[in-house]
Amino acid sequence: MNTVEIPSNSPHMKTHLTLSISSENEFMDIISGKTAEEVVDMLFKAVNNRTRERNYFQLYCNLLDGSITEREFDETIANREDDYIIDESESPSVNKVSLALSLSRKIKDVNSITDLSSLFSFNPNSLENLVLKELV
Amino acid sequence: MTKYVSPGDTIIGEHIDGYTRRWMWKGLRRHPVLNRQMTLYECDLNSYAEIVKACDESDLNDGCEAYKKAVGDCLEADAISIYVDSKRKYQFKVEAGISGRHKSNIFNFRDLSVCSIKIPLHNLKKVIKKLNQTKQIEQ
Repeated sequence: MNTVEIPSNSPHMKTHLTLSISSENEFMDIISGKTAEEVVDMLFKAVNNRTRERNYFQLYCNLLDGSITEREFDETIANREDDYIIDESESPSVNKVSLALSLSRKIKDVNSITDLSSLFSFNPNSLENLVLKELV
Repeated sequence: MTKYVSPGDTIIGEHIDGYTRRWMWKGLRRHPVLNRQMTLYECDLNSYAEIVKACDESDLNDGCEAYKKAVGDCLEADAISIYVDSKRKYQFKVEAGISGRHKSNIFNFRDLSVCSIKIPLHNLKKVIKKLNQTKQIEQ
Protein backbone atom coordinates (compact mmCIF):
# COMPACT_ATOMS: atom_id res chain seq x y z
CA MET A 1 0.00 0.00 0.00
CA ASN A 2 1.49 3.40 -0.99
CA THR A 3 0.40 6.83 0.23
CA VAL A 4 1.18 9.85 -1.92
CA GLU A 5 0.85 13.45 -0.73
CA ILE A 6 -0.80 15.67 -3.32
CA PRO A 7 -0.15 19.44 -3.06
CA SER A 8 -3.34 21.51 -2.83
CA ASN A 9 -4.05 25.22 -3.29
CA SER A 10 -4.76 25.90 0.38
CA PRO A 11 -1.66 25.88 2.64
CA HIS A 12 -3.72 24.30 5.49
CA MET A 13 -5.05 21.36 3.50
CA LYS A 14 -3.26 18.27 2.38
CA THR A 15 -4.75 15.58 0.21
CA HIS A 16 -3.55 12.01 0.52
CA LEU A 17 -4.13 9.49 -2.21
CA THR A 18 -3.85 5.86 -1.22
CA LEU A 19 -3.02 3.27 -3.83
CA SER A 20 -3.55 -0.32 -2.82
CA ILE A 21 -3.27 -3.63 -4.62
CA SER A 22 -5.36 -6.59 -3.46
CA SER A 23 -5.05 -10.19 -4.51
CA GLU A 24 -7.93 -11.88 -6.39
CA ASN A 25 -11.30 -10.69 -5.04
CA GLU A 26 -9.93 -9.88 -1.60
CA PHE A 27 -10.79 -6.18 -1.82
CA MET A 28 -14.30 -6.77 -3.17
CA ASP A 29 -14.87 -9.46 -0.52
CA ILE A 30 -13.91 -6.99 2.22
CA ILE A 31 -16.04 -4.07 1.03
CA SER A 32 -19.04 -6.25 0.18
CA GLY A 33 -18.91 -7.75 3.68
CA LYS A 34 -18.29 -11.32 2.50
CA THR A 35 -15.11 -11.64 4.56
CA ALA A 36 -16.82 -10.26 7.68
CA GLU A 37 -19.65 -12.76 7.19
CA GLU A 38 -17.15 -15.62 6.85
CA VAL A 39 -15.31 -14.51 10.00
CA VAL A 40 -18.56 -14.43 11.97
CA ASP A 41 -19.53 -17.90 10.69
CA MET A 42 -16.13 -19.29 11.66
CA LEU A 43 -16.29 -17.76 15.13
CA PHE A 44 -19.78 -19.22 15.67
CA LYS A 45 -18.46 -22.61 14.58
CA ALA A 46 -15.51 -22.30 16.98
CA VAL A 47 -17.78 -21.44 19.93
CA ASN A 48 -20.13 -24.31 19.08
CA ASN A 49 -17.28 -26.80 18.79
CA ARG A 50 -15.88 -25.75 22.18
CA THR A 51 -19.43 -26.17 23.56
CA ARG A 52 -19.58 -29.70 22.11
CA GLU A 53 -16.31 -30.53 23.89
CA ARG A 54 -17.65 -29.09 27.15
CA ASN A 55 -20.91 -31.05 26.79
CA TYR A 56 -19.00 -34.31 26.33
CA PHE A 57 -16.78 -33.72 29.36
CA GLN A 58 -19.82 -32.73 31.47
CA LEU A 59 -21.62 -35.91 30.41
CA TYR A 60 -18.52 -37.97 31.22
CA CYS A 61 -18.33 -36.38 34.69
CA ASN A 62 -21.97 -37.32 35.21
CA LEU A 63 -21.10 -40.91 34.28
CA LEU A 64 -18.15 -40.97 36.69
CA ASP A 65 -20.11 -39.61 39.66
CA GLY A 66 -22.96 -42.03 39.01
CA SER A 67 -25.58 -39.43 38.01
CA ILE A 68 -26.22 -41.39 34.81
CA THR A 69 -25.73 -45.03 33.88
CA GLU A 70 -23.45 -46.41 31.17
CA ARG A 71 -26.52 -47.06 29.04
CA GLU A 72 -27.82 -43.49 29.45
CA PHE A 73 -24.37 -42.17 28.55
CA ASP A 74 -24.30 -44.16 25.29
CA GLU A 75 -27.92 -43.33 24.44
CA THR A 76 -27.47 -39.60 25.04
CA ILE A 77 -24.51 -39.46 22.68
CA ALA A 78 -26.23 -41.61 20.07
CA ASN A 79 -29.45 -39.55 20.14
CA ARG A 80 -27.86 -36.09 20.28
CA GLU A 81 -24.69 -36.59 18.30
CA ASP A 82 -24.56 -32.96 17.19
CA ASP A 83 -24.31 -31.80 20.83
CA TYR A 84 -21.32 -33.99 21.71
CA ILE A 85 -19.27 -34.87 18.63
CA ILE A 86 -17.10 -32.53 16.61
CA ASP A 87 -17.26 -33.09 12.89
CA GLU A 88 -13.94 -32.73 11.07
CA SER A 89 -14.95 -33.13 7.46
CA GLU A 90 -14.50 -29.74 5.80
CA SER A 91 -11.67 -29.34 3.28
CA PRO A 92 -10.95 -25.62 3.54
CA SER A 93 -9.53 -23.26 0.91
CA VAL A 94 -6.14 -21.62 1.46
CA ASN A 95 -7.92 -18.29 2.18
CA LYS A 96 -10.06 -19.90 4.85
CA VAL A 97 -7.06 -21.54 6.52
CA SER A 98 -5.29 -18.18 6.44
CA LEU A 99 -8.31 -16.56 8.09
CA ALA A 100 -8.51 -19.35 10.69
CA LEU A 101 -4.83 -18.91 11.56
CA SER A 102 -5.36 -15.16 12.05
CA LEU A 103 -8.38 -15.78 14.29
CA SER A 104 -6.63 -18.52 16.27
CA ARG A 105 -4.00 -16.04 17.48
CA LYS A 106 -6.65 -14.61 19.81
CA ILE A 107 -8.18 -17.96 20.83
CA LYS A 108 -6.85 -19.97 23.76
CA ASP A 109 -5.18 -23.37 23.42
CA VAL A 110 -4.66 -23.62 19.69
CA ASN A 111 -1.21 -25.21 19.67
CA SER A 112 -1.42 -27.80 16.91
CA ILE A 113 -3.02 -28.57 13.56
CA THR A 114 -5.38 -30.93 15.42
CA ASP A 115 -6.52 -28.07 17.67
CA LEU A 116 -7.09 -25.82 14.65
CA SER A 117 -9.03 -28.46 12.75
CA SER A 118 -11.16 -29.33 15.80
CA LEU A 119 -11.97 -25.68 16.38
CA PHE A 120 -13.08 -24.86 12.84
CA SER A 121 -14.26 -28.37 11.77
CA PHE A 122 -11.46 -28.70 9.20
CA ASN A 123 -10.30 -32.09 8.03
CA PRO A 124 -6.82 -32.45 9.63
CA ASN A 125 -5.68 -34.65 6.73
CA SER A 126 -6.37 -31.92 4.19
CA LEU A 127 -4.33 -29.41 6.24
CA GLU A 128 -1.47 -31.89 6.60
CA ASN A 129 -1.57 -32.73 2.89
CA LEU A 130 -1.34 -29.01 2.10
CA VAL A 131 1.80 -28.73 4.25
CA LEU A 132 3.38 -31.91 2.89
CA LYS A 133 2.69 -30.86 -0.73
CA GLU A 134 4.30 -27.45 -0.29
CA LEU A 135 7.25 -28.45 1.87
CA VAL A 136 8.40 -31.39 -0.28
CA MET B 1 7.35 -54.69 10.80
CA THR B 2 8.54 -51.23 9.84
CA LYS B 3 9.27 -48.15 11.87
CA TYR B 4 7.78 -44.94 10.45
CA VAL B 5 9.16 -41.57 11.47
CA SER B 6 7.93 -39.08 8.81
CA PRO B 7 5.21 -36.48 9.43
CA GLY B 8 1.84 -37.67 8.15
CA ASP B 9 2.65 -41.40 8.47
CA THR B 10 -0.36 -43.27 9.83
CA ILE B 11 -0.95 -46.72 11.29
CA ILE B 12 -4.27 -48.43 11.96
CA GLY B 13 -4.82 -51.48 14.15
CA GLU B 14 -7.35 -53.31 16.29
CA HIS B 15 -4.95 -53.20 19.26
CA ILE B 16 -2.26 -50.56 19.60
CA ASP B 17 0.32 -50.26 22.39
CA GLY B 18 2.80 -47.51 23.06
CA TYR B 19 4.01 -44.79 25.32
CA THR B 20 4.43 -41.04 25.51
CA ARG B 21 5.79 -38.53 28.00
CA ARG B 22 2.83 -36.15 27.77
CA TRP B 23 -0.72 -36.73 26.59
CA MET B 24 -4.06 -34.97 26.42
CA TRP B 25 -7.58 -36.34 26.17
CA LYS B 26 -9.33 -34.13 23.60
CA GLY B 27 -12.87 -35.57 23.52
CA LEU B 28 -15.09 -37.12 20.88
CA ARG B 29 -14.57 -36.54 17.17
CA ARG B 30 -16.06 -37.97 14.00
CA HIS B 31 -13.05 -39.42 12.19
CA PRO B 32 -12.94 -37.84 8.71
CA VAL B 33 -11.89 -41.04 6.91
CA LEU B 34 -13.43 -43.87 8.93
CA ASN B 35 -16.57 -41.80 9.63
CA ARG B 36 -16.87 -43.19 13.17
CA GLN B 37 -17.29 -41.56 16.56
CA MET B 38 -13.82 -41.80 18.10
CA THR B 39 -11.98 -40.36 21.09
CA LEU B 40 -8.96 -38.24 20.27
CA TYR B 41 -5.75 -38.26 22.30
CA GLU B 42 -2.77 -36.06 21.55
CA CYS B 43 0.64 -37.36 22.59
CA ASP B 44 3.60 -35.07 22.86
CA LEU B 45 7.30 -35.64 23.58
CA ASN B 46 8.98 -38.93 22.77
CA SER B 47 5.93 -40.89 21.61
CA TYR B 48 5.78 -44.44 20.29
CA ALA B 49 2.87 -46.55 19.00
CA GLU B 50 2.90 -50.09 17.62
CA ILE B 51 0.24 -52.35 16.10
CA VAL B 52 -0.10 -55.50 18.20
CA LYS B 53 -3.23 -56.84 16.48
CA ALA B 54 -4.12 -56.07 12.88
CA CYS B 55 -7.55 -54.69 12.04
CA ASP B 56 -10.20 -56.38 9.96
CA GLU B 57 -10.45 -55.44 6.26
CA SER B 58 -14.13 -54.62 6.85
CA ASP B 59 -13.09 -51.77 9.20
CA LEU B 60 -11.32 -49.95 6.38
CA ASN B 61 -12.87 -47.30 4.13
CA ASP B 62 -11.84 -45.48 0.98
CA GLY B 63 -8.99 -43.22 2.00
CA CYS B 64 -7.27 -45.81 4.23
CA GLU B 65 -5.01 -47.06 1.40
CA ALA B 66 -1.94 -45.20 2.69
CA TYR B 67 -2.43 -46.42 6.28
CA LYS B 68 0.06 -49.05 7.51
CA LYS B 69 -1.76 -52.09 8.80
CA ALA B 70 0.76 -54.89 9.50
CA VAL B 71 1.40 -56.21 12.99
CA GLY B 72 4.66 -54.72 14.27
CA ASP B 73 4.42 -51.53 12.20
CA CYS B 74 5.18 -48.64 14.51
CA LEU B 75 5.42 -44.86 14.70
CA GLU B 76 8.18 -43.06 16.54
CA ALA B 77 8.01 -39.28 16.81
CA ASP B 78 7.71 -36.42 19.24
CA ALA B 79 4.04 -35.74 18.63
CA ILE B 80 1.37 -38.19 17.49
CA SER B 81 -2.43 -38.04 17.45
CA ILE B 82 -4.49 -41.14 18.25
CA TYR B 83 -8.15 -41.71 17.43
CA VAL B 84 -9.66 -44.62 19.40
CA ASP B 85 -13.03 -46.17 18.58
CA SER B 86 -14.38 -45.80 22.11
CA LYS B 87 -16.51 -43.19 23.85
CA ARG B 88 -14.78 -43.77 27.17
CA LYS B 89 -11.38 -42.63 28.35
CA TYR B 90 -8.57 -45.16 28.48
CA GLN B 91 -6.19 -45.33 31.45
CA PHE B 92 -2.55 -44.40 30.90
CA LYS B 93 -0.14 -46.18 33.28
CA VAL B 94 2.89 -44.25 34.49
CA GLU B 95 6.14 -46.23 34.40
CA ALA B 96 9.76 -45.27 34.85
CA GLY B 97 12.74 -46.22 32.72
CA ILE B 98 11.10 -46.28 29.29
CA SER B 99 11.78 -42.84 27.88
CA GLY B 100 15.35 -42.27 29.01
CA ARG B 101 15.42 -41.05 32.60
CA HIS B 102 11.88 -39.73 32.40
CA LYS B 103 8.65 -41.36 33.43
CA SER B 104 6.43 -42.46 30.58
CA ASN B 105 2.71 -42.91 30.16
CA ILE B 106 1.94 -46.35 28.76
CA PHE B 107 -1.22 -46.95 26.73
CA ASN B 108 -2.81 -50.19 25.53
CA PHE B 109 -5.74 -49.40 23.25
CA ARG B 110 -7.98 -52.42 22.72
CA ASP B 111 -10.38 -50.81 20.22
CA LEU B 112 -9.78 -49.87 16.60
CA SER B 113 -7.20 -47.06 16.68
CA VAL B 114 -5.62 -44.74 14.12
CA CYS B 115 -2.30 -43.05 14.97
CA SER B 116 -0.60 -40.34 12.89
CA ILE B 117 2.62 -38.42 13.22
CA LYS B 118 1.64 -34.80 13.63
CA ILE B 119 2.90 -31.85 11.65
CA PRO B 120 3.75 -28.74 13.71
CA LEU B 121 1.34 -25.80 13.44
CA HIS B 122 4.33 -23.59 12.71
CA ASN B 123 4.83 -25.47 9.40
CA LEU B 124 1.24 -24.77 8.36
CA LYS B 125 1.70 -21.06 9.16
CA LYS B 126 4.88 -21.03 7.08
CA VAL B 127 3.18 -22.70 4.10
CA ILE B 128 0.17 -20.33 4.20
CA LYS B 129 2.48 -17.32 4.41
CA LYS B 130 4.45 -18.62 1.43
CA LEU B 131 1.28 -19.27 -0.61
CA ASN B 132 -0.03 -15.77 0.15
CA GLN B 133 3.28 -14.20 -0.90
CA THR B 134 3.37 -16.21 -4.14
CA LYS B 135 -0.17 -15.08 -4.93
CA GLN B 136 0.79 -11.42 -4.44
CA ILE B 137 3.90 -11.72 -6.61
CA GLU B 138 1.92 -13.35 -9.42
CA GLN B 139 -0.48 -10.41 -9.59
